[in-house]
Amino acid sequence: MAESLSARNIVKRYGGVVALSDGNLDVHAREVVALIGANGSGKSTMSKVINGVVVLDGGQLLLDGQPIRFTSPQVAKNAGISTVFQELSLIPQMTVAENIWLTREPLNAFGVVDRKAIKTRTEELLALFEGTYKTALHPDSPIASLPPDERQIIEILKAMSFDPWLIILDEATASLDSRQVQRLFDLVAKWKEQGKAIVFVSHRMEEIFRIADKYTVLRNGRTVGAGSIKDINEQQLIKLMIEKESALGFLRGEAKTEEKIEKEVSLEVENLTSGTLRGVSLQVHKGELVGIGGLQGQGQRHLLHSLFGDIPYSGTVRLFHKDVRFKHPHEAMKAGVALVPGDRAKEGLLYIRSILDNMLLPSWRRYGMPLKVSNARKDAEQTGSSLNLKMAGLDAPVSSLSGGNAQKVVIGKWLMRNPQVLLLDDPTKGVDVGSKAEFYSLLTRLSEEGKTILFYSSDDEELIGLCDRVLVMHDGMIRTELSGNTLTKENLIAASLGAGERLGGDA
Amino acid sequence: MSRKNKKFVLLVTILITVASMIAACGAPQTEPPAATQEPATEAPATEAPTEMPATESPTEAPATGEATEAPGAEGAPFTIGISNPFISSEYRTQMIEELIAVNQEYMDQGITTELVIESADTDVAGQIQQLQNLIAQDVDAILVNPGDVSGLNATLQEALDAGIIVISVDQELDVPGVYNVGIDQKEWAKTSAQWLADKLGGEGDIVQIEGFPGHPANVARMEGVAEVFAEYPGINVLATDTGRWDEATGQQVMSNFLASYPNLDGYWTQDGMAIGALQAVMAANPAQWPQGVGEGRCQYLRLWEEALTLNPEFDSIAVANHPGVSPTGLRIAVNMLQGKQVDESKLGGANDLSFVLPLAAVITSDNLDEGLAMCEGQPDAYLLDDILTEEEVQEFFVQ
Amino acid sequence: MRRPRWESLTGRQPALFALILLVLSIAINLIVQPNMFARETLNSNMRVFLPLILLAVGQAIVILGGGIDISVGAIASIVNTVLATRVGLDGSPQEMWTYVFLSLLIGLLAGAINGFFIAYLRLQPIITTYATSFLYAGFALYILPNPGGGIPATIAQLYRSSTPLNLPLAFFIILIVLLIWLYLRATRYGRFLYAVGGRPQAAYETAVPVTWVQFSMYVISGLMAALSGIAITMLSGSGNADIGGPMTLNSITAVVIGGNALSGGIGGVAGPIMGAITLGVLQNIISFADIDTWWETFVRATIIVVALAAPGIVNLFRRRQS
Repeated sequence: MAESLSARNIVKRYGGVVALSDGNLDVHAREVVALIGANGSGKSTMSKVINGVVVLDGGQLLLDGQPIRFTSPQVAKNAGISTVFQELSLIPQMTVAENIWLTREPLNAFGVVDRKAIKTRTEELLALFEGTYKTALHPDSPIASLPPDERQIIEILKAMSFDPWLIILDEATASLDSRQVQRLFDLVAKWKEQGKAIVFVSHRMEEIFRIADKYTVLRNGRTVGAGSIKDINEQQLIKLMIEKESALGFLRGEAKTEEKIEKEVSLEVENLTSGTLRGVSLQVHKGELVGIGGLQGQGQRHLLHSLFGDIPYSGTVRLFHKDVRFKHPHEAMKAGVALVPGDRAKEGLLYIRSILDNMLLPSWRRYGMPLKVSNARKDAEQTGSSLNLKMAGLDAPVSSLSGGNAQKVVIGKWLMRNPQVLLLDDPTKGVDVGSKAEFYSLLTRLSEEGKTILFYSSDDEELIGLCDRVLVMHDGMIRTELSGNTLTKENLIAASLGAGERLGGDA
Repeated sequence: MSRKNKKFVLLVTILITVASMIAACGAPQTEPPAATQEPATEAPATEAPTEMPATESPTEAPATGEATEAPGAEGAPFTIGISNPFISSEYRTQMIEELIAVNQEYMDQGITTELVIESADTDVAGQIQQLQNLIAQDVDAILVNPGDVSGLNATLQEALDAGIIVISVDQELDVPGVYNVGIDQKEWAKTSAQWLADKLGGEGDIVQIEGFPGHPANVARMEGVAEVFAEYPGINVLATDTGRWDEATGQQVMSNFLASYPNLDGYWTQDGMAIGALQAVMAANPAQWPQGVGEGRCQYLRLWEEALTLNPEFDSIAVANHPGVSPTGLRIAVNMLQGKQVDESKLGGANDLSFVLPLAAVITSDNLDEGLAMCEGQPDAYLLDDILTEEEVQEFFVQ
Repeated sequence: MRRPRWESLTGRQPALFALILLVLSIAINLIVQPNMFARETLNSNMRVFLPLILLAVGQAIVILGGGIDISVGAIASIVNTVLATRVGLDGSPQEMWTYVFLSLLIGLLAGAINGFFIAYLRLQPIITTYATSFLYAGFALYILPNPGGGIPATIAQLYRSSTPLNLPLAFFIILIVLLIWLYLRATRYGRFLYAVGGRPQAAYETAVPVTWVQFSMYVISGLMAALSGIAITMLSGSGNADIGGPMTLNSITAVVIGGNALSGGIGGVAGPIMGAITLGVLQNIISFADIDTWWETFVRATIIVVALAAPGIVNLFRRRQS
């Protein structure tokens, strides 16, 4: 068994995006290293580099001090490195046993997979988590039929079945309940005794301090700190994760938050519950820009889509003091609600069609039957120029635009309907810095015009710089509300990670 | 629970399959021929025997002569099967309709029962299946329009071995015992090629639009055309392209030719592509119109008439490749079933196994009016046709 | 929670529908054609179905692995033209078997070309095999521009009328293919195939040799297409460069009726075999039931559409229930 693995000055690019610019990590046998960082800091990329899933663009990996190249997951596996993937590496169509032993099936003399042996060994592995799963988990259950926590357990058992010396746990606890987490940590302790090394990627501060021996902090693709967990506390860790100064100047609205609160409540949500939402209540005032923050995948998208009538929900939604229940986005649109989706390519735009066609899509009805194209064109031009849209002409295809300008088309097509409530689903993802700044000033302007804006972003700086209030979501609920003096980066990240004391607001 | 149910359903279905297999294997082997007759025949089977004696004599004057020697009465009424692997063309539509009509004559006389028609767009394996189904239904004769020149040979041999009379229409096969009925494709093509050569006075630049390269009929036709033009050194074939027997493609190919060769003197083409070609000429309306070969379809004759109003100088010829060969084949099959001896000396074709039928209609500017008259009341798709009468068919049999 | 044995035989549950459809169509066929199970009738049917069955088996394996092969019919055509031109009507049995062997090599090579482009150069399977289908069809046409040629009648007869143990020869061939598949499925390779078809990224992360598996499944498909070409040559006894083309789409239809998901990872080979037989039996029913000629195509298409839609409908009900 190996004794140590080191990553030195790792560089990894995806197209033009730099995921890692200077990643460093050291891990030794008999220790747990916590790999920590904010959203998009390069944690997942780092683990993919160590397990050979991605080929690195620069830097070096050292196994017991000797340079080694992982050209494929197979090579890394052979070197005794095994991973519990955040996005699970299970084949949904195959059974638990088939998945766990894939590529290492015990064979009989004729090269036939020994089903009995597989079953016995799978049952042995399952026994490790016995009592923590709800349904009768069986070696022959198809993965597709399992709930997320059981899939996560299978993913952990699969990584174990390789009998590796280094195990990477990438957000392995995210979908586990406390009993299951405890069982996993018991295993981790046992692995340490057996001389294994563990890389623990997690957002949960409490867990990090519970099992980690060392820490490594990534920020913007760079390792900015490493050391023994004994020598650091939560606050210091969070500080490390946060950039010292922002590169962007934000234009917050002139009007003071207090003034806005006096205005009427335009959107009111009470106890909204759906698949992932576990009772969300909030109020937004006219002309207010409210941010939704938190780690990715805590129900923010669900909230916006529920409000837009995309996802069925239970609970009460009041729009301008009237109870509404949208069953279809069409109804939401009619009531003056617009959603700017996060995935432009999939949800927001028809890329090969012209800018005009795209802008017209939600509102073509207004231009009659047959279409009064000249009117539509005039309105579209006006909207385009108000957004400062850089284009060759309205007839150019959207695919000819840059990311930022394409996003403006998505917003433009909703603005043409003059909506009163704007729901924004991480709109600046993959948008260049210049366009971002323009986009911010647009948002500020819209909110000054009296529009109600609910703005989810995975970029914490945006939320802090732009929003009057930020609602931090965690596990399908609003955990904390930050505004005024409490709206700081430290508080936001701490609230996202669920660390430290609760900072006021309704939970 | 549901899994248990599923397992049970499965078990039952398997048992049923196995049971039905065993039951079926036992039963028909004892008396196979009797079992098959029932499904296909139904109504006519009951009507025919009563009608037969009454209708036999008073049909036609010469027919009485045969009636005495018609030993076919032994097996009558006969069941005749049709196998056709291609239905998406007017030719085949007309062919099937005419077969049904001619068979109706024989049914009225109690000589045959309703046709067993196997007609669908299918491949070689599919047509083999068609033939096997016909054999399994114990038909007395099979009329096959083969989709493949030799792929059906083994299956047809099995039909012959089962004592079934097999006639191939529209396509010559080389299986001893199988008689072919059709026109001489080469002659057919030569007729129009000869006209074109004469029309141009043996000199000029022409283009050719052919059907599917490699298709037997197309190969025979193009050979004939080449033979004719070889005799005229003054005729210069500038280009040959395929219109894939498709009107639209023919039009496109001709348009391209007209653009590349503005001074074209003539063009040779065949079947539906001729309509496309003439439409291309009419659309382009060049200073000098090429003279072109047409086809024996009412739509073409009407288009030709229209073209003359645009350019009275235009001339054409329409030689019908007529679907009537199939009903003629049906008559031959019936006569053979009745026990008449084929006069082998009258047969022609590559292997002297073919009834070579005369061309149905040759329309030139001289008799265009007659041709149009024949189309009176017929749809555009109608092909000028000719079905040999019962008397004419007797030519091929030993008197 | 234990899954029934047969499911592990045919893949997951989808083959159930293929079986029901097959039993149903055989039952109807039996009504309109009572002597359907007589030895001669059964044999003459099975020998016609076999080429499509073999093609569908290859197609099923590719689709299982998350790909598709549009070129199978064209590969069968090449084999048909090679046999028809090289062996000839009066060739010797030795020549025949030599070229049968060569045909298998041709199938392997054609499949390897597909596999190379798709697995190693990462080209789209549907586009790639669509392109190579023209390449292969063109090659077949080059070998045999005009239909003709053939194989010795005695050898064709061997295929057409051998009925060992009073059962059609095709039964034994299907049995052998099925046994080989069951073996393959039980090996590690079988697991890889399902994994690659199910979620290639996850398979890759688990160190499954994804590229190699993808390559190999096209080679298998090519080999099955060659076997299909040999079968159809023995059936027709002659050569025609267009002989395989129309079978391609039917092979995909058979696979889908057989319950395999076009997205890959679900299904098996037994289902598609049943699907191919069902397609053939359907044609029998239509002709024996004396359906009017002009309705025939329509009726057949309707049955196929219903057959394709039915698994989806079954799933819909299942979801409703749960």
